[in-house]
Amino acid sequence: MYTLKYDFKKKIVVKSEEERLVYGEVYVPYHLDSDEEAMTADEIKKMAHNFLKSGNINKIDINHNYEESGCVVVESFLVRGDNDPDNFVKGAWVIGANIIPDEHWEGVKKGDFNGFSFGGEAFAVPTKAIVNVAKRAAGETEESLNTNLVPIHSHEIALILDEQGRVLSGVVNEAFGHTHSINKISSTEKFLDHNHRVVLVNSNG
Amino acid sequence: MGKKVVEIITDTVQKDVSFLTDVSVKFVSLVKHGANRTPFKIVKSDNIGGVLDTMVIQSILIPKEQNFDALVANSNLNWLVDAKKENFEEYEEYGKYVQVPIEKFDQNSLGMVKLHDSGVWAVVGKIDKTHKVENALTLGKKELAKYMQIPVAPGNAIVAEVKYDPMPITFNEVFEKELYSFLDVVRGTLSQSSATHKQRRKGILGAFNAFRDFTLMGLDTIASKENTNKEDKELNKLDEKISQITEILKTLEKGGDTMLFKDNEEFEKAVSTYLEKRETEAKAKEDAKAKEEAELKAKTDAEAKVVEEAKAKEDAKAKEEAELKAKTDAETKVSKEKETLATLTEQLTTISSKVKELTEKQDKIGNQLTTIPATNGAEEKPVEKKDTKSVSVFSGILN
Repeated sequence: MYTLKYDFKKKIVVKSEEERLVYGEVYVPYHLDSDEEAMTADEIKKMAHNFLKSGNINKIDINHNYEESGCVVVESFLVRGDNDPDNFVKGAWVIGANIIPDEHWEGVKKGDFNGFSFGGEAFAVPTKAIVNVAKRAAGETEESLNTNLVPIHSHEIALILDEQGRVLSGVVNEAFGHTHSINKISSTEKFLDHNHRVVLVNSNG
Repeated sequence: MGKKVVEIITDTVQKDVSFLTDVSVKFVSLVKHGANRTPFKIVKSDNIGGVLDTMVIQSILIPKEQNFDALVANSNLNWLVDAKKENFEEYEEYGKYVQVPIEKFDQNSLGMVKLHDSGVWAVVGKIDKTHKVENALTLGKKELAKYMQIPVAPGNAIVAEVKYDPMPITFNEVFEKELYSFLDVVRGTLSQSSATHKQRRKGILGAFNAFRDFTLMGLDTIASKENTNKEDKELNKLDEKISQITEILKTLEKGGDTMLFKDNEEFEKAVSTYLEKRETEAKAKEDAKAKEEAELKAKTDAEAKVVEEAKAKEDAKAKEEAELKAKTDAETKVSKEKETLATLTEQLTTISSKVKELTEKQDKIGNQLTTIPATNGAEEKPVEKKDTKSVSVFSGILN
């Protein structure tokens, strides 16, 4: 039986307005995803290496549409230590992507794109595991990025989650005369042309 | 700037899960919610953070004798190639290429950065959160290290925090550094016995021009900042600055070749005279500007009054027309109602006479039996009319 750590660590994207770069974990070892699936660090390493070996630097699509978006993978690495300066999780596959098309960069800024996912082929091996599941979460959201309608701000939130990490109920406080609904733990829903990303850290240590 | 995070409380459970193996990734996707449910975490790429991480160039100040294109082409200022050149303001000793209007900046963040030793400076600051600026030039790490904040009162030592430099940089410090650089040149030039008069003159005047340009740029920037803050203290600040320069000049050691100036006192006097002249000119300019503004305001007020009167007249006319229209409409309505009433009366009269006729006929029939014909071929059946009294449905109207 495996022990899966379900402790939400910080996932980070380094963004430069001038260079249009985002950095993010494509996959983190021993973290259950939304399909209740996980991978070992070795498998992630293999996956990351094969992706580059095949010369797939242009294979970034939008919402799994399997069409090249014009974005390019400009960096790819496996996190080696426990204390990564950007808080990437050890063993995770991180890519840096150059978001070249204007509309996709706007999407990053407005919160339409908040993370990476991947599409491909794999074998799934069922097993039983002891998993840390999040029950409650509270704190402050990331600041908004798009200031077209409302100045930069953040909201305080409180969430109750089910065993699959889905939001059972959530409260987002009011700021600048508005609030947001929240259906997924990674970000609030968009309102007034912006949303807020939610970075979870495990208070249990 | 601390990261915003949300803390979670977890519990341990046993679950049926699947481990993925031999994964072949066809596409990495940009998605709204990542598969592992954690979002992008946004930080700045230069990792400086704080007040300095978004320093935007408000304007580039270049001495008159310098050519902007030549500077960009021949020095390490080639990153200024994208600078806007259309908004150029010409001053007596230097030119200013405005990149972003100063009103769009957080006034407390405004500062100056020396971009090049030839006397090229930039006014920089953070964009106020209520404004949006696109395609603005920003400062790199190297330039940020030389950033100094411009206080409203130049004599006050207001500190600019530079994260990776524990030493605060103040306007005074930079000012003094520039002044002492100038004095060093003066001392050095005067002490070179082999130098010709022409060489000394050129060296000292070159250094003096550079220092003068810096001082003027700094003073003008302070004045712009004060203008934006609606504070009219330029002349007081200038006085302070002149006193400060005079005080520092008093420390200049005497001696050396005095071909250019007889002694330090003369040199000090020359600088003071020059700056006093600048003060007078600045005041005259300010007065002229104030007069012009007052005249413009008077003109604008007069125009506004005329517009207001015209509008009032127009409103009154519109009101009158509306009243007239209402009256006409009311009259038309009454007229139409009269016509309708006449038509109705006529119709009523006709109906009344017909009803009367029918009533008379009905009365004549009285209690007579009548026969309803069968419609399906059945036997005809007599029906007795029980009530002999007829009631007209129009009785209410007729009465």
